[in-house]
Amino acid sequence: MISVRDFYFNYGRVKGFAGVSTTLTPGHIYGVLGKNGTGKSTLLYNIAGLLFPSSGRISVNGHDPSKRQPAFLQDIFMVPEEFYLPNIPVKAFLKYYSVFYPMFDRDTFHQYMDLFEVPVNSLLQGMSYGQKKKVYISFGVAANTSVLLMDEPTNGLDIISKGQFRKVIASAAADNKILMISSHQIKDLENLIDEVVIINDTSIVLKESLNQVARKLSFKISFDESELTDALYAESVLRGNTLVTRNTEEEESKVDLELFYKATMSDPAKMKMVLK
Amino acid sequence: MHPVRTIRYLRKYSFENAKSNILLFLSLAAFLVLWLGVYLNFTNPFLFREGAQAAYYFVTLFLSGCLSSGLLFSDFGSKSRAINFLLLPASALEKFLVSLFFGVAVFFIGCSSIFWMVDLVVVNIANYKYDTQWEVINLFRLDTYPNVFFDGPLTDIFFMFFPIQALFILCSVFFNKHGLFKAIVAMGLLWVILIAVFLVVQHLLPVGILHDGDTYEVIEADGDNKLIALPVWLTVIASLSYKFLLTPMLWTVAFFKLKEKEL
Repeated sequence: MISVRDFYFNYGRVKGFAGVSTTLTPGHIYGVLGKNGTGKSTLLYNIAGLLFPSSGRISVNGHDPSKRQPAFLQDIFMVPEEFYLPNIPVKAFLKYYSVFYPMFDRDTFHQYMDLFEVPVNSLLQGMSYGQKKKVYISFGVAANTSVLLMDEPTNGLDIISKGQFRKVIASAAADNKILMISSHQIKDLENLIDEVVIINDTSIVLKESLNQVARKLSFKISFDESELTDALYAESVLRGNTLVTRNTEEEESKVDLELFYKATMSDPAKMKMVLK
Repeated sequence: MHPVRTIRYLRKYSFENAKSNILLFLSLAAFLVLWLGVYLNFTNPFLFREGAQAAYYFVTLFLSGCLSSGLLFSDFGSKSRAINFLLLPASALEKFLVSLFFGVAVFFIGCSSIFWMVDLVVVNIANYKYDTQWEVINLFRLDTYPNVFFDGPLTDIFFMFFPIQALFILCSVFFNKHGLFKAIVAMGLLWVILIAVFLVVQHLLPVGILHDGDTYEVIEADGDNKLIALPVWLTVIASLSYKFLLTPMLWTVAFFKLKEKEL
């Protein structure tokens, strides 16, 4: 479990997070959404123990991340946006790094490498950024840590690879794991996450399960202008509007994550009230 | 500290840094070959006397030791490398000790071995060319050679080298970027401060001469000079602290800085 209590973080004199409290429980894939520079990476870095809170407390499975104890580090894996892989063969990387993760599963690693179509016998130095990222993601998921943090994991992946990525993540989800994926490319997270965390300015403006969103909201395209008055959020499209409305007919519609994000950002307080 | 994990980290570190370490030692050898090769073209055979060889050894050790130590934690200069370093499941102590082992112990042995090999070849060529009988210096018996730097045994230079190297290591942990250059600036500032303190103390004291660092002879106009001696225990403690405590203290500070290091 990840517990964030009264979390403050400042970038020098500039305020980052101010008094954030939330709890993330195992068995979920959390999508962390927010504009560029709102602190998605900062939140993940604080959870990983790469940055320390200015005040407040973060606890990951009972560990204080800032202490970076080996027991904590071997149970958390982070795929950062900017990652480093040494210039060694993939097999050597596997040999020298996997030993630090007690739950590492070599078969799973090979399985993911096959899925990503990256040959295990290749050298890391000869790989493209996208290929390296696939190795890193495969390694991170195969490490079987109870917390897996991914910062913009789909950056640098082509369309086919993004599909492969979704398969990998879907197979990695388990009842005892917390997966946190931050992205500003919201479409990449659709049908992948089951909880959404929206960050804006200095706080988490909304944290909600997508089941609840589907129960409470309706996403549709409407050609009837009169429906605009009841809409929580509307966006004009060719000959009509995409709408976010209250789900009054108890019919669950597919959550349009991008539309939901925009609707939340337009009026976070109202959205919170509707989802209650 | 977990012994198995430390060994794993040691293996990973040595494998990943093998190329850069080999390059470091090769460039060290090339530097010595260039330097002493130029000297071989001069007509002065005394350039290869034992005292001069010892001086070359220490100059090489200082230059390469400070340079490599200033880059020991250069991973912090890159965000991606820093993340890789900080998130690897090993304790800060294990990471620090392994880095220290390679940066101090392995470097010292490697540097001394390379110097000895190059020196062996160069001195033999010099003896052949100048028809001299200079011996290749024995690095295990450095005190038997004359000290060209100051009065005192040659091995005392090690008591200067290791603290300075430790200061460079500390700077490489402390500063994320350009740790090496900042360490050089820090050394320069430290040197200026020491000179300033020395000049102030000299100005405050009555006119006199310092003997062996622990006795001050005040020169009187009537010729009745007086000796001011520091207690022996104080000079012994100061000397031992400088020789054996300063370096571990700087390492300890570097370790604690590493422990609380953020991106």
